[in-house]
Amino acid sequence: MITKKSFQVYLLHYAFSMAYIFTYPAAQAGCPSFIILSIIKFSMPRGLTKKEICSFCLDKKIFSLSTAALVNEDLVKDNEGYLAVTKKGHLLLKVFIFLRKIFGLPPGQG
Amino acid sequence: MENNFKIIWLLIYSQIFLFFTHVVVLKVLIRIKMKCLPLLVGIKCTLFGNIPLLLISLSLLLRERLEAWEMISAILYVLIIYNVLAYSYWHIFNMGETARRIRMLYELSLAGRMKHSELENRYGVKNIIDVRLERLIAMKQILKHQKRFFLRSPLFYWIGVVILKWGFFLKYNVSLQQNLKKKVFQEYLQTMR
Repeated sequence: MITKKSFQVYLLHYAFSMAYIFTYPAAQAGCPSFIILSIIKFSMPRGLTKKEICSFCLDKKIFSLSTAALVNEDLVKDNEGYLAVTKKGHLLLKVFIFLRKIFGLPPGQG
Repeated sequence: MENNFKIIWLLIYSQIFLFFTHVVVLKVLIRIKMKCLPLLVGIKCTLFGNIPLLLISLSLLLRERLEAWEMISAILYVLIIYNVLAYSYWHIFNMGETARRIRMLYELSLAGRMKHSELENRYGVKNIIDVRLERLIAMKQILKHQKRFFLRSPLFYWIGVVILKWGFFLKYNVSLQQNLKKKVFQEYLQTMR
C-alpha cells in the first residue's frame, strides 16, 4: 500500500539519486572549470597568463574532445574519418536548443 | 487532502515554479540588456525560492498539531528536497550551456560532416579555456589582473577537489590526477621560463 511516508521516502531517494547521476560525469570525465581552478591555485600567489594555462593543458593533453564517447553512444558516426551527427544526436541537440530558446538564449558556448 | 500530501505536491510544483521564474527573470534581464550569467540567475532564483516555499510549508504544517522536533524535521525535509532537486535542474540547464559534447554536436550539425582535426580547430583547447575563464570571472571564482589570472574564492576549487578525488577513487582520471599534481605543474612552469 502506498502511504504518505512511502511517498516522502521515494521523493528523498529520487532527489538524491538525480543529484548523484548529474554529478557523476564530472567525476568520470573531469570538469574543465575545476581543472583550470586547480592549475591557477597551484600558481598562487604568482598567478597565470592564459598562454601558460593553455600550453600546460595542451602539453599534458588535459582536455580531449570526447568524440570517441559520442561515437560509442551513437550520437555521432565516424564514416572514414569524417564525423557526422546521427538521428539520435540530432534529437538530443534539438531538445537542448529548444530548452535554450524558451529562455531566449542562443546555443551554448560549450 | 492531507497536509503531508500537500507538502509533496508543493515540492513538485516548486520545481515548475523555479523553471518559470528562471525563464521570466532571464528574459527580462536579456530585454533590458543587462549582462548576466544564466546559471547564476538560476542559482539566485533557487535561493530566493526558499522563502515562499518556507512560508507556504509553515502555513500548511502549522495546521497540524506537530511536536517541535516533528516541525523542524518536516521543514528540513522540505528545504533539503527542494534544493537537491534544484541542483539537478541546474545541471540539466548547465548541460545546454557548458557541455562539451553538446557543443561538439552543435558544430557538427552546422557543418554537416567534418574531420576530427576540423572540429578541433573550431572547438579546441583554447576555446574550452577561453569560455571557462570568462565564466569563472563572472562567477567571482577567479580574477584577472594585468593579464594574469588569480584565485579569488576557494569555494569552487574545493568542490572540484572533492569531485576529482571521487573520480580518482572510482579509478577514473588516473593520468589526469597525476598531471594535476602541484609538483608536475611547477616543474612544467620552470621549463617554460
